[in-house]
Amino acid sequence: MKGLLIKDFKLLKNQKSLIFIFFAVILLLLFSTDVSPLFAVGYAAFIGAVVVISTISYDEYDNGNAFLFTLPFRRKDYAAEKYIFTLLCSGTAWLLSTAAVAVFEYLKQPRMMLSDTIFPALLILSVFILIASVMLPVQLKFGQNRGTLAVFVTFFLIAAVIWLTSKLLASFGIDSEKWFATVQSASFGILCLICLIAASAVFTISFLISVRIVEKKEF
Amino acid sequence: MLSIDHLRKNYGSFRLDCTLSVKPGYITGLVGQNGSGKSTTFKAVLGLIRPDGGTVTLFGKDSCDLTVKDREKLGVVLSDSGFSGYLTVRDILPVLGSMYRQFDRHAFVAGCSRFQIPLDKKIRDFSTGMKAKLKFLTALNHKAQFLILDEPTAGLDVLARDELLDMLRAYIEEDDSRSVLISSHISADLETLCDDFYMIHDGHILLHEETDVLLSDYGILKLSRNQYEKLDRRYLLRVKEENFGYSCLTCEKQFYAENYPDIVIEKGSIDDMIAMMIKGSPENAGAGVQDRDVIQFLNRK
Repeated sequence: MKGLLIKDFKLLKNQKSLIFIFFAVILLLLFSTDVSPLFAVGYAAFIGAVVVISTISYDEYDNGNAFLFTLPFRRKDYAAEKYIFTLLCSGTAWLLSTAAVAVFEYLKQPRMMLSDTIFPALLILSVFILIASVMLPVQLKFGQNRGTLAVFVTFFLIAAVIWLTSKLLASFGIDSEKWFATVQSASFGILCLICLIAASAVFTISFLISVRIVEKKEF
Repeated sequence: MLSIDHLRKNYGSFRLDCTLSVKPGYITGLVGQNGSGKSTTFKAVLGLIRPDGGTVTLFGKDSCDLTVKDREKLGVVLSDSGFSGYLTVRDILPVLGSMYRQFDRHAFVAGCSRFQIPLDKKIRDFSTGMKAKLKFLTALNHKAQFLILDEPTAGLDVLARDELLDMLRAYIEEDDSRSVLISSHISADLETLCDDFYMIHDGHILLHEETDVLLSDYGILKLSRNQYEKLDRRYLLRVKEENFGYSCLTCEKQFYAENYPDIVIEKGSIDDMIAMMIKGSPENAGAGVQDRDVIQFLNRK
């Protein structure tokens, strides 16, 4: 596991240009008047996920997985390492960008509540965790070539299911948008917490699926 | 060390059915043409593919039950795979160091220096020869008990091949319990290295023989049609029709040398024998020898 993490951090280190662009865009977003500074948090978490996906592609590059999987680790460890690496990369990116936004907002409006930054950032983190939960097993299953298409198809299917569910609820006289507005107005903080717990549960299920995918994979 | 019993794997029309073993302290060669099943056999041993049947026993365990510690005892070279091309050699040093408790960093770096492998260049920018040398160094520097080397000399010039094979010999001499399963389509490389050979063709083992026996007892008879008609064909493994008459592969060249002093007997390289085993026909050989190759194989099991 440790060796795999070192390998991925070394791969990350070799993407210096990506890291440079990452910080440049964060700064640009913070000072932009057109978008909310919180957009920087979403962007940071998303780039974190892209970095992890890129390490899966780098492992596959030139049939590298065949040799990689002869090294002394369990297949389960490989899946676990990708999830830990996701949490480390995106978690760090999220933490740094949230801190930067909080400081930036405080400097702009000293009276602003910290929760005004933290809660939306937590919501963004939950959404990111959900996105990573979908992207990781799909990428591990379909690989570099078909993975991107598979991710698009999966997100399209998820969006279709959500849309159909809201239509179905509407046909029973339940207005889902109103319901969400009610929950949000009750306590935004609790909503964020519920989202984070739900996203974590999905992340765990996603990990278990990924372990099965990696264990069945042939090289 | 390794025992493979009727390992089966099907890919479309290709059917692998392989039985072989590698004894402790032995260097065993697996020779055959491209696409004969060598790499599939290696991948099944390493657990990279799931067999459709048969068993693979490594270090006395089913290969599926190997622990991380067992896998540390393996040194692997794959012909078509290595470390990600996006890494440098300096990047992989801590990776190997944390994965193999017995990784000899000093020897590895010294090997890189000896082979002029740059530490800070991305592996994808390496020449084929450099990549082959790096794979070799990776397999040999953590005191592995069993080396599985699939075409380790592919892409190397003659001098570099000799250098690597010398390194391999030295590695085995360091500890006589170490074993090697090695494949190459340049079987001349293996003639002076291996203790025994398996010849694989179209997914099946055609022949298993000790190298000494192969080089001392096997030969290729060059016969006119007249000589062939009068020949005792009991010890012919394969017969191939030629312009001048027949080429015949025998496992008893001494018998023919003593009883037919007029015929030409070539010593034959492993490559020649492979060519005869594949292109020659067993149908024209004598009744008593048609199954000789199979018998040889079974006797040694």
